[in-house]
Amino acid sequence: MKQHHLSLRTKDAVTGFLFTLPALVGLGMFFVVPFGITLKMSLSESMGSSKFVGFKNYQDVLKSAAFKLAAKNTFKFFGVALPCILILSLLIALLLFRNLKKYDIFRTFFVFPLVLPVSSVVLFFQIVFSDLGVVNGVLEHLGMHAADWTGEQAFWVLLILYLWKNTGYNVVLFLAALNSVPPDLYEAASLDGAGWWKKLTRITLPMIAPHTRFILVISIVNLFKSFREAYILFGDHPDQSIYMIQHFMNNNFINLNYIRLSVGAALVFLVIFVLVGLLLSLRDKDEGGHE
Amino acid sequence: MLTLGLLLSALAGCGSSTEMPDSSTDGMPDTSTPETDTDYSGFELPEETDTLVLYSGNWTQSDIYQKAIPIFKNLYPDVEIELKNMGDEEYVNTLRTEIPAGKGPDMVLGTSFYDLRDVYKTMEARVFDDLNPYIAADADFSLDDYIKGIMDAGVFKGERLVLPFSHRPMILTTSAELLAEEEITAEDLTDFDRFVAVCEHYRGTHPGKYFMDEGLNRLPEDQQLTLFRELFLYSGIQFFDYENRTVVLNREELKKVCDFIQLYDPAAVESERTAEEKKKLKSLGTWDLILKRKCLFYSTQSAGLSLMMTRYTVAKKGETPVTVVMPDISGAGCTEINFFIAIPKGAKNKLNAWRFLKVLMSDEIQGDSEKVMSIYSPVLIRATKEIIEAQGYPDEEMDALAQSLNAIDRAYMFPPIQWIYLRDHMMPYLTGERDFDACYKDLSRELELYIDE
Amino acid sequence: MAKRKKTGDIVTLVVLILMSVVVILPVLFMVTHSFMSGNELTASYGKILSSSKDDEDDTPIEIDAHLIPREPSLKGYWDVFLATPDYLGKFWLSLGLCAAITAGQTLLACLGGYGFAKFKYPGKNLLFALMVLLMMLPLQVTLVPNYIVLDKLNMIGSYSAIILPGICSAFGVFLLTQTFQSIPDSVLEAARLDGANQFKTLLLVVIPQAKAGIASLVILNFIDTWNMVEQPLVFLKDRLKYPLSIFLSQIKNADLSRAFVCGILAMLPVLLLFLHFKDALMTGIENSALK
Repeated sequence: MKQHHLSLRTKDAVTGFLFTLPALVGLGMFFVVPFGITLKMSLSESMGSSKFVGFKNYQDVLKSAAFKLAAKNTFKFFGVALPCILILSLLIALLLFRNLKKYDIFRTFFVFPLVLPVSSVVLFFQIVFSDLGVVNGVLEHLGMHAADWTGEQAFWVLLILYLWKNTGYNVVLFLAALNSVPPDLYEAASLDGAGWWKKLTRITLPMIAPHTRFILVISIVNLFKSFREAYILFGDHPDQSIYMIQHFMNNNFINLNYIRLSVGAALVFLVIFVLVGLLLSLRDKDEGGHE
Repeated sequence: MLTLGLLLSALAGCGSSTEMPDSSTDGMPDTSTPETDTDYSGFELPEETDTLVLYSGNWTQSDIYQKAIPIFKNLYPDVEIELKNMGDEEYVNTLRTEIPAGKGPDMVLGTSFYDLRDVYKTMEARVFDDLNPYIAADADFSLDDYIKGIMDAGVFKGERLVLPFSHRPMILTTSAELLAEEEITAEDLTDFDRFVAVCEHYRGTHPGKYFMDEGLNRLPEDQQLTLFRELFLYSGIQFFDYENRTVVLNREELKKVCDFIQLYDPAAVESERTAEEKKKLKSLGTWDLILKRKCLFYSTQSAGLSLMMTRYTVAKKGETPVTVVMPDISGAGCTEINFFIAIPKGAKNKLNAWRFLKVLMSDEIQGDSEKVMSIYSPVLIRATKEIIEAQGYPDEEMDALAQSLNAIDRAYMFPPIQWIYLRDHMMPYLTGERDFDACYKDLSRELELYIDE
Repeated sequence: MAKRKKTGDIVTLVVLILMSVVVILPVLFMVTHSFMSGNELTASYGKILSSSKDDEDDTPIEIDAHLIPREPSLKGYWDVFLATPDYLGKFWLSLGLCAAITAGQTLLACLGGYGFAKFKYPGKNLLFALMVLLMMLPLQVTLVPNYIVLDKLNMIGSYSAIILPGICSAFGVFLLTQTFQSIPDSVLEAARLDGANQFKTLLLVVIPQAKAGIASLVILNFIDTWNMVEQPLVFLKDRLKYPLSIFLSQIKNADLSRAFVCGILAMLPVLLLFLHFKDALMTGIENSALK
């Protein structure tokens, strides 16, 4: 009996592996192999020679003031943008959740920004936030000083751009999460006399926590994507407040310095690896708990 | 399994496909030893192939190639040239991807203002061949034929990674009569400090006039920024030591140059001019600026040697033209390199690339003042002289110009971003809004970050 | 009590309407501006958007942003749709490319997602985590090594250089793994007891239940592919083969009316696709969070 069970598991494992195989081969070919090349280059002397130099390039990059600034800014931006988008989209989702049927049309609206092509988004933001743009016009009209949205205030423009593009996506994800909370939990709490706040903190938030982790991963992916708009809006060397890892890598790409680019990529990968690995392992534990 | 196999072959491949053809350079000292000390005797020119692959963006490159390809075809009829014309964005992105991947064109004719935006940083990435062994192995080619001060800009840690092709010097035109009126001697125009003093004196005694004019007074304000850029550039301040990744900008030198640029002061000049005068100036031909005594020098840095129209006018109207290269802070002249040539390490047809490079550096191309060098100046010493003489004034003064052009001792491939930093951080000082040291501090911080990127 | 609830509803509605305006404004902006004449656009935004320095005298110092066209014109549409057949040709080409990539990616993701969601084999979680991580690598990092790999495979210059890596992106597998996990195991077991093999189960049970998730994958993947610029630019090596996205990014601001109309042209298929799948997409994104 035990023998039979075991072989069934093995068979199951093989079937599962075979199902994932095409995806894994594709990923291997177009993502793992290229990343392997990147890692190899990060340990090589130069593009022309594949001479192994150990972690010398890493030392150089880690010493670089530009890299340090980029890392600091990237962490800062992630630190501000991720909570912002999670809180904002959760709040909107809670608002919509109060009466979903009546507000259904708004759900459509919030996904609208996804549809606009990048170049159109950039065009709009240029008109709104350039020195002579709409926002400064309004500010001056109100008797306030015009701000330098491409300089010192660029951080906020970038944040608004990111929130604007991705909040809708997260709202829908949060709505789904809220839907998954069994209604009888709320009813029971109401009978116990729990107020709105208590229901939120005791029931809603703990119940949607596992979903939040998935939303966070997607938010990070979208965050990396939002830098494409940033280059087009602010150029290769933007104000120091928004000089990010992506700029460091892109500028080394422009200068054909693939060695430094790959070191930067490997370091970023390492950090994400630790963070996301942590997230996923938490998620897996949750799964285990449910079984 | 397939993935693993591919991984291995790709990893093995990317090393070998970009291997250099020459092994002799391995023994080369990699720091600061002058290139002449190195022995390249083990090097042989790369082997013969039957194609040459060139890429061209929408830039003047295509004009240059159009002229050079027939010459090359004539010399090597068996070699097939694959010239790929591309859109700008495509060209730039293709170069950036293919060259590090060990592919791409056999030879690059690049610019520092568009495709390779900071050539020095690209040199550091070691994606180009050292040209010194090629030069040493080829008896037909001698570096002595070219302006040394300019050619040396292409050397990085002892390796000659790029070869400057053309440059844009700052040539000032005035007349001997005007100089005499202002009591300015020839020596005043060969030393930076004395040059500045002369300009300062002129501004003090002529409130409504610029010491240097390009006809800019008729253009909107932001166009005047170009002159600021030129003055910064041609004063020859050193910003970076790329080899050691450090900023070498000297505070005193920068202050000196900034104060010089401040003399230009368009706001003050314009305020001294009446509306009537401005109107009159507008109707004035550009070449008349010197003859009508509207400025001290007429600058033609954006034009090539063959376009010195002011000089013609001055001579025609009976005055003696004086044409000089603006002195830089180190004494001789400084210039901006606009095109350079490099052979990528991954090139497949290096011998043909080298041959094509020689065509580009030959008299026929360097001396072509009508097309190729119509708005640039050549780096070939003979060609500089030829073009100047071809203007029909083979007099002493022109000899002097050729001499001072060939004596240029500093050349830059000025990255656009460097100018943006200068403009953003030093303009508040130039306009009197901010104190010098505050501006200098911000600029230094920005430069430190940039060089260490 | 009832009154309080009513005011609460009104506040909710007002907040939602305000937020919708912020989200929809840029889309509305694109649409109305596509009906403005070139002159009106230059007069209004020339100062900040015009890249040419030649027409100094014509460009006003202030910008004048407004939503309603003052002199409505269809010239932009004429230029793009009728005068330059190029754009329409590129449009269909892009559509074909995106369809091929999206179809392939969906197939791969269905198989991979099923394998990851419903089977266990040693190292599965590690492979899954690696996949999620690789999804986050920025483009500059993978561009050069991808070129090396594609060159080894002899694909540079052919459409497969764009299509194959597009198909193998990790996003679809990630999304569908999340979606398939939400289907109860009991449903699958019932199908298996009925004698269905794994492929049948996937095709007849899992996929119909995950229609929504697949729809969301189709839309999100289509958007990504539709906006792709760098890969076709570098890997196709032939202007005739370029998709619409490249032309869109190259119009820049030189010709404003054309830029706006092309923005609309680029928005159109994504918008239609989105409206078609709207209901499915909404629940689709929800399902992936439900897991």
